[in-house]
Amino acid sequence: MRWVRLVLVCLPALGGCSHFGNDMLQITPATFSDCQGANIVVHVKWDATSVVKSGGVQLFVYKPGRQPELWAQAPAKGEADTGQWAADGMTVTLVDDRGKLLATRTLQSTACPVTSG
Amino acid sequence: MKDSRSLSADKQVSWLLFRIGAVVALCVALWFATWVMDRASIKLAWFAYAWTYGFFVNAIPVVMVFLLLLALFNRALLAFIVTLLLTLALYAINFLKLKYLRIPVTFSDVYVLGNLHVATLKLLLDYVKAWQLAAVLLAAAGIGAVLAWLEHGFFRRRSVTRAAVALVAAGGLVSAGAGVGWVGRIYAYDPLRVAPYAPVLTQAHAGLISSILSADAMRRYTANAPVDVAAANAFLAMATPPVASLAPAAGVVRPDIVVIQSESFFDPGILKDLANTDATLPNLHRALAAGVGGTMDPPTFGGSTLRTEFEVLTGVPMAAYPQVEFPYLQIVQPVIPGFVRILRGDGYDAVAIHPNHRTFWNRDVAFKEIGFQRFISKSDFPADARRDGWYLSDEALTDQVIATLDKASAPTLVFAISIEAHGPYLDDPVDDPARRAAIPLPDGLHGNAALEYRNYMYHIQNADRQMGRLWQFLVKRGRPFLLVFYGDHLPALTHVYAQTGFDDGQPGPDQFVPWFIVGTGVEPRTLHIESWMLGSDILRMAGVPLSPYYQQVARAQSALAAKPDAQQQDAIQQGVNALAQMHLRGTVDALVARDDAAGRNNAHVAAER
Repeated sequence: MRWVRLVLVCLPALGGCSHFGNDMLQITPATFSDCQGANIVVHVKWDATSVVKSGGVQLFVYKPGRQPELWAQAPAKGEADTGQWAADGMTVTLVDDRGKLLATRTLQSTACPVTSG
Repeated sequence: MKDSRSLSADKQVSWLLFRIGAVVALCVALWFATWVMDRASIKLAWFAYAWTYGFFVNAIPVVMVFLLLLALFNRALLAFIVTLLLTLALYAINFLKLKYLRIPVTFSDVYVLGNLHVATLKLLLDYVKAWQLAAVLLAAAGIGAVLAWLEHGFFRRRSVTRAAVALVAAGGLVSAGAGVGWVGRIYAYDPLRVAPYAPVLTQAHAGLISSILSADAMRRYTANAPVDVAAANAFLAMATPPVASLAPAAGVVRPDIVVIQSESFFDPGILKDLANTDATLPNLHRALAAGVGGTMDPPTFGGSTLRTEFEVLTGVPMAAYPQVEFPYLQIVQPVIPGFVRILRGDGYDAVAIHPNHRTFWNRDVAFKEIGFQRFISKSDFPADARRDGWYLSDEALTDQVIATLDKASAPTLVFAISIEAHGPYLDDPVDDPARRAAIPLPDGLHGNAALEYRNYMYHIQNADRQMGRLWQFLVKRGRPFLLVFYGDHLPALTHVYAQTGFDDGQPGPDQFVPWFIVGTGVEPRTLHIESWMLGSDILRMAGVPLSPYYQQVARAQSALAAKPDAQQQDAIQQGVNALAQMHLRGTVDALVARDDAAGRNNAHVAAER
């Protein structure tokens, strides 16, 4: 039974890993429907003040498997909207001024249900 | 682990539960570790798309490998670590392949493994640091040896469970590798959310292993689709009108052949409220009057360009494969026959050009299989190549075609695929808004329909202009040439079609696109064709001998042009479909040729497996 309990505790904890370190970076919406089209505007909010005491941060964006491109250089805390170019799988990374990765978020989509008629 | 033989009955039950729990825990750990490695290899957030269908099925083969190794080694931790390292190796290769080649690992990579030799290994090793690899392998071997020594046996001696686990895991892996039915059902397109135009996005949705197994299952299904031999025989036995002669363009000198597949190009003159497009698309009408051409029936409407492209390049009607929606992903084999390979055999160089990402629609793989020696894609265009609207312009594409021909030292086939006129058409950042605003509207078109129409017309006027520019260049160049032009499908002008119908009263999917061939020695002639017939026409006009399959395509074209009744039309189409399947399997040419050599008027086809 110990093992069953251990698994029951570990599974949600592993699920929670998706948020590990990522509280510093939020994207809204985190998920969108394909019915909305291929591209949407995403609101990006970051707060790295707990680890970045002086200096700023950098935000990079990229499509899955592609090279990151610098999107913003900003203070440790801030928020901004992307343009109408955020797409399924687009990933935002938050990096401190020494290049250390602080958080990663990936924009996800849900399938557009097929309607008849 | 302890020896359970010395334990009491209660403790034996606890011990058994502990062992089962340990294996379950290790399987769960592998499940999550595989997903994290998958995400890391394409640089997504660790748990992006976790808890989706793809997440649950992606690691099934990994768990099977673990269970097989558990049964073979009889050591749980050792099996776990070896499985983890094998999975890590797969994802490291995926990461490196994406980094250097910009495409993920696919089942096509099996062909590389099948032709592995020292030079290939050396080349592959250039992409990793050899000492790091050696250190990892040594460390793994050391850990393995220590674990094998320290860890007690997981199963008892002569354990039936051990044999059963080995059999189930091995059976599962072998059947997954062989692509049997259950693989296709579990790794199906819809629940995995396969994105056929973007392999890395498919991996994001479904995981790399799911993507590979899904593509492999579909490939096998397609390759083994049953052939209607009776239909093939019936068509070969059919009396058909003689194939019309299309005069060779330039005698013994092979013409350069430029094929322009123009994105979403149709003649809006077929819209109900528009008289004609003589003034707005002047080069199209000039070419239709000067060359062989007319209307062409593409196998798609509003999108899925690759369906028309596949028909043109291979001569295979998509109707031969009703289950195949995306041929470049679902029909994958080392060699795909078609007019490109016939031209190569006749001394041509073959170059494909497309100002989009090379992996889009899996073209980078498909074009090699089809026989192109070079594929110039978006990353090969100059950084300052002109964009107009959402994409690189037809002007930039034409610049590349001209530059390619300028460098040519042998007769050359250039297959150029435009993208400028791709939608969306409602909100389009065109270069010249004033010109767009001056485009006259058909009667009654307003609101979003007017916006769509003007944006669309703006781009196809550019396409027409660039086609005229290329034609002029080819004439001035002085070498024999054929310029082939067609639209890949009608655009998805939803609002326009809703406000104005078509002249013939039929819906959009039943409309045709224009096509033509102009060039050296081409006499004017009007023909309606299906897009799978175009390759045969190009070969005939270039004076290049037809393969036995293309001879049958030409026969079908001739037979259908005679407007047979519906029953006979169906018999011709079914016959071509069956022959096309055999054409892809490489069996039709020899059979048709053998029957020709035997002097029979009508070839018959031997039974296909």
